[in-house]
Amino acid sequence: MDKNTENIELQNDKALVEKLFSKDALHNYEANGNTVPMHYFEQFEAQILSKIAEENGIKKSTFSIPRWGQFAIAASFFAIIATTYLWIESNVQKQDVASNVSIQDIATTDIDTYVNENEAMAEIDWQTEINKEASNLETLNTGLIKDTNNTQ
Amino acid sequence: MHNDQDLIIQFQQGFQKEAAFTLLLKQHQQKVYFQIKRMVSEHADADDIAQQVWIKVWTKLDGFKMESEFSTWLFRVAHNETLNFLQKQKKHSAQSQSSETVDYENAASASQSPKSSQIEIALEQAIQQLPEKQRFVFMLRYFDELNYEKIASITGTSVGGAKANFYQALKKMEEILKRD
Repeated sequence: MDKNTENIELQNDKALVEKLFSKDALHNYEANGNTVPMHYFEQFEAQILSKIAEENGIKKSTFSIPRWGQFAIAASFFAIIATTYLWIESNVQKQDVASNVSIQDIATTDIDTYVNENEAMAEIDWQTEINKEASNLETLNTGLIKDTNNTQ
Repeated sequence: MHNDQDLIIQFQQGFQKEAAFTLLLKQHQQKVYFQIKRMVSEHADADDIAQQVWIKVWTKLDGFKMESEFSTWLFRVAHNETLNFLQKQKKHSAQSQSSETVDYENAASASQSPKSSQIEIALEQAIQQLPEKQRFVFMLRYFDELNYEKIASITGTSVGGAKANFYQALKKMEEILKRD
């Protein structure tokens, strides 16, 4: 709606009101409502500013965290939660792998490969090997005793 | 006269916040006060509400997105605060004088000067008997000469709703005049 039409509409509305009550009565009503104590508005400004300062003072005295601090705390919480989640998740996966694998699930070729690779190890006669190592040590020990006697 | 938008930007950037706020207050305090005063009549009440309005402006202005004019937003804050006050007052008076009826005639004539004419008393009585929303719209339209779009934004209704409120207020006042 353009300004002109708006203005005409306003004047029409005002005329309707003035038809009910006289223009003077309306003017007086407005004038009565417009009275304020002396210097009210000058004092009001100071009053509001002191109230705001008071409120700010109260707020400052209570514990407050600046905005960047709030972001930092939020980010730290997020990082802790994310790390914990990932750690728990990976552990669960490991456990799942161990508990879920059964011998039927492993391919025969995989079992064969594993046995072949470890066959040499399985065929070692551990007792012979230990005895061999012990006699080696004994020979070394005897040699050392001889050397010591010669130097003396 | 300073531009509202510049002052708000200055306030929001935290650069001389108090100075920007003081200028906004200086520019709009009278309009806000009189808008409230017309609704509550008593200076002490209007003063209390006006203080609450400006403290709210101080705390909420950082979040003002300038999607509407500052004055519209400010009047809306004043409108809401005034309605809250009137509702509390209504509850309080309903509790304290539940059996008594409101004597509009005496209330109106008590606040008028001795020289007040009959028509002035009738006007005040009629205005006091209007429902709050209609009274608000009537005041904003007749005395503040605001267009319906702005009235709708302030009172939180549609343009059609604001117009309807104004014409209903007129009709009601006419009925009151005829009845008395």
